[in-house]
Amino acid sequence: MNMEYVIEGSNIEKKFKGFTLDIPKLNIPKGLATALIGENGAGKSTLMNILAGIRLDHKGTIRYFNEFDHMEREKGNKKEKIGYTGPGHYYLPQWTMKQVEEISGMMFDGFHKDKFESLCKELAVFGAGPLDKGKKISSFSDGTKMKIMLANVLARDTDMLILDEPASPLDPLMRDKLCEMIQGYLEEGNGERSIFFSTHNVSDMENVTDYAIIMEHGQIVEEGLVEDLKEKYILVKGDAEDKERAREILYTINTNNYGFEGICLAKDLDKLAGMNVTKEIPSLYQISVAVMKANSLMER
Amino acid sequence: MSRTIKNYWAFTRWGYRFAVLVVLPLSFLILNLFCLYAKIPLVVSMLIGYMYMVLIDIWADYWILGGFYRKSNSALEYLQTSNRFGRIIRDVVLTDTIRRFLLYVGLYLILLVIGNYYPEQIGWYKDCSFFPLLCFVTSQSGVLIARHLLGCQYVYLVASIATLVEGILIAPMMYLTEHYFWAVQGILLVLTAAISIIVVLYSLKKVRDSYYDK
Repeated sequence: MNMEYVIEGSNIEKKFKGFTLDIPKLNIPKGLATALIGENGAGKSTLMNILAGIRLDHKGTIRYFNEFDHMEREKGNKKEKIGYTGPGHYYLPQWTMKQVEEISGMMFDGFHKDKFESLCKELAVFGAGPLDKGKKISSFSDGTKMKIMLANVLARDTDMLILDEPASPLDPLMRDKLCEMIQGYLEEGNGERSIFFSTHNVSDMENVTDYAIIMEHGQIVEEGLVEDLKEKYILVKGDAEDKERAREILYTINTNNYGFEGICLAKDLDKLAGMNVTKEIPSLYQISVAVMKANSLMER
Repeated sequence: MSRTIKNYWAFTRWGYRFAVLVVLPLSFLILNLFCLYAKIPLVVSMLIGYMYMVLIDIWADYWILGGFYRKSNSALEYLQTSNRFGRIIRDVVLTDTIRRFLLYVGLYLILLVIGNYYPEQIGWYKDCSFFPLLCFVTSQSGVLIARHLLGCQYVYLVASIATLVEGILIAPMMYLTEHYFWAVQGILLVLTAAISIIVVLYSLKKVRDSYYDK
């Protein structure tokens, strides 16, 4: 498949004490929803901060929309096209809803106040009550704060959204709504809009994920279209008697007294000949866990 | 100009504006007018009025830019996503500085005009002439420190210390004003300009620093 990229990065590097983000090549496809998956501390937020332009102390180059690089991004009004939401303290804690609305209007030409208010209503930011613009942001729950961030970023004219852990503070119903919103955003863009989001809730976000990037200890360890990954990795289940032989072949394996279950690389399937195994298409969650397990520094 | 004020307006809440732009100057004027009317030496009401103004002004700043100068302030993420972050902060800090200057100096000038009707108080105006600029310098310095702190109790502590410092400086300044009037005014004017420039430039430096972890 011939893909266009909304972000093309090369040799992205950022060092912390005891941690190095080191990404020789990063390509985020245009027109798709790309999920960034990885353990805590894998460097997902660091990467997203760099891409969103809220961290500038990194090496390497990043090119956006095939139009400008990360240096040019800081000039003029280039960030207008990129929407970002992050975990933690996104807004100044003393701000009220009214201030969020007014300051957003000052920050971005493409911010639509009416759309923001209608999205707040749609997402029930104030529950069943009326829109209380005097309410302080710090008084909302984490889930509601995320709803406000999403309403804010979706009320702008953007070509790309970078969402750091948007699903984490949300309830299952709202996660479903988030998927709907992501799909809606991409559809409205007619292939010109893209979304890059990080998540630990891979199962909930799977139906909206087109492309996945899996990170471990500051590096990309796997990436590809979800449909391609599902061809590359096969879920295999077998009997207990074969588990030791399977252990040597499978990419990752879980065993119990009755048998084993694991992820096998499609190219290694032939090696399982002679074993009594069943094969299934794995979910993105299963692939992600397998890849993370295989690359994790955690003792198992 | 209107954009600069709009940015400041957006950063301030209704309660802040009401307290700082209406209640504070009105209380100051009422207190001083009462002293003029009751023939109480103007220095008393000016001293109390300006000290309270500095205290409340520094404390109230917490509701605009509280904690803004803190290292690794993660609450700036949203602002960082805009190319206008620096410009907006410059507008807010600059307008706030001008507002503070106009408030302190303006109130003195209003009282000076009213003072024409109270000839017995005229002598105090000269003695208190350094109050507005001294208070401005103290208030700006207090704000410069307080914006590094999170938690309004800490900001209140800084505001109290700034007010105390201001109070300690009053007597020697009065003595100096009596003997070296223009020198004192000149030095205060230079300090006013310096602290105003420092606060604006330091705020812009903090904006730039916020993009870097080191």
